[in-house]
Amino acid sequence: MSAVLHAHPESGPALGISETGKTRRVLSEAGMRGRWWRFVLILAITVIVLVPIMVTVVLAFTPGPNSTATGFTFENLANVFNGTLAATWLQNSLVTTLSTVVVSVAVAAPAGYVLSRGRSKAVSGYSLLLSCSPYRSSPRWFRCSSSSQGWDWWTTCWASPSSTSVPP
Amino acid sequence: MTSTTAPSGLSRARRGLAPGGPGASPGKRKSKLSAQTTKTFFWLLLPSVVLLVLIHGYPLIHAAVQATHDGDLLQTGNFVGGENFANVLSSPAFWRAAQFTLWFTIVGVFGSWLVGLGLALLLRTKIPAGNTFKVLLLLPWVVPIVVSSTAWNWLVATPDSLIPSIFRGLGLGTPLFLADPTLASITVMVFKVWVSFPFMMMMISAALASVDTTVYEAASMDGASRWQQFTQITLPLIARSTYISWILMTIFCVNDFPTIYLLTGGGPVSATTSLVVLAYRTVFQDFATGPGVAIAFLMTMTLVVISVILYRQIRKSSVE
Amino acid sequence: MNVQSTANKAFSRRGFLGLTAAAASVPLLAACGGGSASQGGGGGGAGGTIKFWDMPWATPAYNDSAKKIAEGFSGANNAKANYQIIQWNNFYQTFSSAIASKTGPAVSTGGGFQAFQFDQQGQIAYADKVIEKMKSNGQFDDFLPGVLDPFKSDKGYVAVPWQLDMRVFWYRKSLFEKAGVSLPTDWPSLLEAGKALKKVGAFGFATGAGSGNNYGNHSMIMMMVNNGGGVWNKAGELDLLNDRNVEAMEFVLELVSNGIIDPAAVSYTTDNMSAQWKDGKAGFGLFQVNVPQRVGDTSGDLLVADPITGPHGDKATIVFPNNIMMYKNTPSQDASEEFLVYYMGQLKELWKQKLMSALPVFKSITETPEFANDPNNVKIVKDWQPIAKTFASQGSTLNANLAALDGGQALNQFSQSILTGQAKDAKSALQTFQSGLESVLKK
Repeated sequence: MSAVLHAHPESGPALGISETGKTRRVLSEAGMRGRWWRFVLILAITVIVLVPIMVTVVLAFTPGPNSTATGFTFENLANVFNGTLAATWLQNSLVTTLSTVVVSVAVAAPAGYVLSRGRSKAVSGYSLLLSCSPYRSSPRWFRCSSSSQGWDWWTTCWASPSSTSVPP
Repeated sequence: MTSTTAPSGLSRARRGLAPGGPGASPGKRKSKLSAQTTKTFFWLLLPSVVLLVLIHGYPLIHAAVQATHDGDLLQTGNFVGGENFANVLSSPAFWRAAQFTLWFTIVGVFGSWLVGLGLALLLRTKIPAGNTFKVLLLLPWVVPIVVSSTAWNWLVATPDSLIPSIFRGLGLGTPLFLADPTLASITVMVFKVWVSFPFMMMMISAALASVDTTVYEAASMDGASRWQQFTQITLPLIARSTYISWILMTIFCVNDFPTIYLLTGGGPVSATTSLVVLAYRTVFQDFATGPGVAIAFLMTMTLVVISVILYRQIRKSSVE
Repeated sequence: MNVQSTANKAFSRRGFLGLTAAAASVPLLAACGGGSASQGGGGGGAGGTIKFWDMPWATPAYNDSAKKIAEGFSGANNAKANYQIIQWNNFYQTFSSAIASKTGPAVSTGGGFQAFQFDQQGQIAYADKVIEKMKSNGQFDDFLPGVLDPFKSDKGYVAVPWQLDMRVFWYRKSLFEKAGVSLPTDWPSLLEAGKALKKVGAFGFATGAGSGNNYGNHSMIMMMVNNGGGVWNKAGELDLLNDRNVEAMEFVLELVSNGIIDPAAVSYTTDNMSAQWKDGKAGFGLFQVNVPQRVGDTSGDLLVADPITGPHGDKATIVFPNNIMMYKNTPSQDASEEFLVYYMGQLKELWKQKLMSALPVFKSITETPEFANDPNNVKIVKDWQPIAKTFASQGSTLNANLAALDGGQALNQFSQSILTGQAKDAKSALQTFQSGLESVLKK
């Protein structure tokens, strides 16, 4: 366990300043044993941690309740693409993601430049305001804030039906 | 270029001005640059200000209006002032949700930090296929929460699910992980730690990478034990990253809706209802926007206070 | 360093960043402009294009078929219809924001009480003329008994029903044979059957109240209604503490204490519930139409049971009549009405293609071979539909308050406290339920 706690990148017990060759060999063997012990430990941890992920993979290739297939099957994956609007959803996700990334970077880059170079109180205050924005809690403010009273153009932009952005 | 009013070269030199040509005076040139810079900074910041106002400002103002009215999702209703806040603060459901949120956050933050720290330290040592393990251990964070909650449900929901079956096989009875209020709370917290530890692991790994290893060699030469090196060197050197990750994880835990809602729906009997789940259910299931938004405001104010305290701690650790 | 060249470099950097900022504003403007493009409309002649919004009531094949029907509409003055699917997730917000911004549909399906909620906002166009047209073309007489009454408000019909989401008792025949017990016909026999099923490892009152699962809630209300009680009295007033409700919940608590209800049921999602039915753990319980197809067991072992009689001779179940509503924001109210009459006339296509997991509202559809070939369906129509009451029971018309009841926190808490046995007694649980509901309804 001490080898685990010691965050030395060269692993194992720290080597002394001067050693004989025999001491170095013994310490090296101890380091190797420690290395494999750590490997077993991390392997066990990874397997346990990934059980839910493995369950997901197994269930994806297991026949569904109404399926006539038995054993390993690609039926569920085929149904996703044939029986649902998965292609549309994927397209929507890609468009949304790319747009978000482009807009975020395009807006954040100049703002970041200013925040890094600016030395005024206004810039510091704005920096603090920006850091407060993650505190906005669910439910999504803009969803529950949409109303018929004014700002209709805004609700048109942001709160119109977006469940299927590409009508079937 | 000369000016009839140009001072002599010697006096210019004494003032630190460049020879040849009067130019503007240093003060005037500096203020001209400053005005230009300010103007440029303004235009560069403008898009982010506009986005901030659109995405946060308007909804925040409208939410403040809703929190002080008794309307629903379709209409604002009548002004009731602080009545919604008073009702919420006097509601036992609110304090139960606050208590669960507190425990959920504490376990989520420190549980994921401890697991992430341990794994980051372990993965920093030389292990065969270490990079592969690093990637695999990121998966709980990467996989969409809808997918992972479905998998967890499959693992624990019914008495014949895998985990209860293992417990039964070991002679430990058949725990009802999602039906028993206490067990459901524990299960949700464990699920949160499982989802969050990769994030902590990444943050701490990045912090550990910046730690100078010669410090450990020097400490070893001075006779420091492993534990001393860990507590006196490693932890202080990664303190800044630790505080930042605690702040972020606190925000994530307090605001976490899908982890709880998808697994238990806030049940059984509100045992796993956090403040954000309570706010959601109040607004979207009871159609009572005033109290629901009031809960969200109270959460936000609490988060700001906690973050200010932690940010001060960061500044303090930086100075030290 | 030469100040001028530094300034030049800085300007070019600033210039670049400024251009980037300008580029960032383009998508924002495009999004605002694009929003209006996604609202549909346009096309069509003087009658306009009727926007019809529908929900994913079944598999995607249902929506494909419904789309074909809707877009096959051709009305007077070249009126057309276009079809859009709205996902259930946050559907209320989708509708409310669209209607508020005048980009909403002219006709839609939706939540069971949605028409009443929007009627309160003055957004609903009443369907009285549609009913008149249906009377003249014979469709009105084709309605199953009692399906239209819940939608009549003081000002007119707020919507027209199109399918019935029934709650009926199902049972697994082989488990009853294994337990050596006959099907329950009343509450005492339900208790006895439950005890017998427990001995063979099955549960005699299968239900679920986990995340997203309302069957637990529906089971509680169903038992109240089955005993002649309900959430509301005949005058439409909240009346949870009547003796019949107390008696019903005391019975359910007895089922819980006897282990006849699965102790894990409080956390079951609908998928968990389906798995319990498929795996033979559920012997008897409340579910919807088409359970064998839903859970994946069409062996004929899962069958619809007879309605059971309450202690005072009452027989009832609950039904959620899903409906189609019209909105005031339409290019032509006449075209909306014409479309609705047309669409109601085409509903049989959906059942002919076996796309629906609900009961139709028309007798003629229940007589089609595709529907009538399933004896479970026939039994539900014959034995259950005539005794079905809505959530408004014992009142007869639906109203907007029911939206806060169905899926609201008060009912969820109540159901879960009963199913976990945490409720001290029926009366105090009902008292808590009533208080919770009153706090939501009084505004």
